[in-house]
Amino acid sequence: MLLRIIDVDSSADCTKLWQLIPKDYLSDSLMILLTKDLSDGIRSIAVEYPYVDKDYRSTYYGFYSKRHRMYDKFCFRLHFFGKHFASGNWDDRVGESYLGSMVLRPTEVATLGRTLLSPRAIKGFKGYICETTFQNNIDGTELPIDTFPHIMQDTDVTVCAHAVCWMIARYYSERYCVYPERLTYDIACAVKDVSLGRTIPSRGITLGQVSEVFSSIGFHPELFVRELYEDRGSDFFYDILYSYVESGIPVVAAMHGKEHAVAILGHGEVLSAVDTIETLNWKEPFLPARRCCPSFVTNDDNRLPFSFIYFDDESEGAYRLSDVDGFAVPLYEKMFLSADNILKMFPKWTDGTLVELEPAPTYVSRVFMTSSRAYKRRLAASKDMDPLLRKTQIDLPMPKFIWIVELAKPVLYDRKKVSYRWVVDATANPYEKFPFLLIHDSSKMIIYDRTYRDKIYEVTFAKRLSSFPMFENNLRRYA
Amino acid sequence: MNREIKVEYCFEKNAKVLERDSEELVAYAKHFEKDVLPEIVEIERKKASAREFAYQLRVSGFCAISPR
Repeated sequence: MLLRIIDVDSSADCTKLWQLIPKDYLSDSLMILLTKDLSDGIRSIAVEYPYVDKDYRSTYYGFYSKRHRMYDKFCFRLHFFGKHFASGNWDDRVGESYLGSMVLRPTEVATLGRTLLSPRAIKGFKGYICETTFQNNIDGTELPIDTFPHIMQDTDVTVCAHAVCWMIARYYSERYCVYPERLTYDIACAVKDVSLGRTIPSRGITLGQVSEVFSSIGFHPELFVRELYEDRGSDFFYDILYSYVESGIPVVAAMHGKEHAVAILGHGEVLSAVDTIETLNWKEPFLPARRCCPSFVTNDDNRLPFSFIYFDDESEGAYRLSDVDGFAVPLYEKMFLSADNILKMFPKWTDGTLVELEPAPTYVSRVFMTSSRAYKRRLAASKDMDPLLRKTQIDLPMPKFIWIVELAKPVLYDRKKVSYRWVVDATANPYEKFPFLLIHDSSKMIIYDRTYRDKIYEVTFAKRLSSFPMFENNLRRYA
Repeated sequence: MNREIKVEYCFEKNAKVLERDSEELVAYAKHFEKDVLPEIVEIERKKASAREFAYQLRVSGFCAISPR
């Protein structure tokens, strides 16, 4: 039921919420986060009570109802709007000004429940994130919201790694019907390894147990541990992480030293490649696009959604990327070839025996995965590519997921264009000599029909290939 | 009845089929064996070890929940 709509002129006015909501649901520490991090563009907050939150109810029936102390079964839910609304007068403007919702649980400690806030509701947020549409409603009015879900640990049943698994699982279950919805209590119960003792009340879990949680939901997780890549510094480890994030696959980043985990679900603003090469005095033939992204976007359950983790030790923020010791990637079954394989392979294809790149001191390399359906859909709509190259890729049978390697001269990269784009079979074996579906240079393309004819073709372009637009589909930009 | 279904890709008309023993593919195959394969073997070995390491990475104890 809608209790009241509160007018606010800045985030500092969130303290008005205490007129309605007890501190058991809205603690001092959460109020500090709201007043500090919410956008000053919020004009109205609608307060709902009693609200039945399915995630809180799952922990209520599984755990809180077993305590001697009384806990409320109901939650508050807040809806945020960018315009002023009089109580109950929902009109056509309501959807366009809707900035999302948050649930407040009566758990006294870490009360922020399921949060579906638009990045526009966060002060000064600029970056790229994976998101999907959630359907909220108030008084029977549908309120769709595009976002990535967020929740705080409750410190009883769930800890931060459970919260992060929940965020990622809920994102996937809302976006793809192949993944089942899992409530917070289900996530906590998914850990089956009890060799270190009982799992509820939780005393924390390991990265290996995160992998168990994902496996129980139907993912095929891949694990990467920094220590194994330190023989060459941490750059390769970061490049692998970036490839998955650029693929629109959120990951669980584990910080053993900090005893914490966050979801990495996007990256911050992209810097100029020309400037980056100059700043780093870069002399290598390939500059990983990751070098042009000084930060990743995280959902940290200690904070509101959409904070940043930086590479740079000088930057503000609670954590550095150097705190990340490992990460778990929830992959789809048929994503066999992993990012480290493809990052090692593609530079070798340019040795001149297969394709020959135009001479340039450095190419910016952007490596990511996408679905062949999304890729072909984008090709079909794109007219700024050589017609034969475009039609060939649309014709060629492809697996459900493909790796894409984009190579761009730095000046082109800054204009969101690329010189070459190679397509690789994500179901390939890493030891295969020819795992690609199509690679090309400016004068010819090599096409491998891996599934129907099992033949490799070489086709010469009628005229030298010119640059074409970068593929941007996996992440949404907020500027 | 002829059960053969004729499939022709748009690129086939002007395409040259590269045989597995063609000069380009053999040259790359040698390059692969020498320069690519050892690196792939190494990173696959790392991924196998990652599973053991992952159970030593305790990722969430009781995290401080106050704002930082």
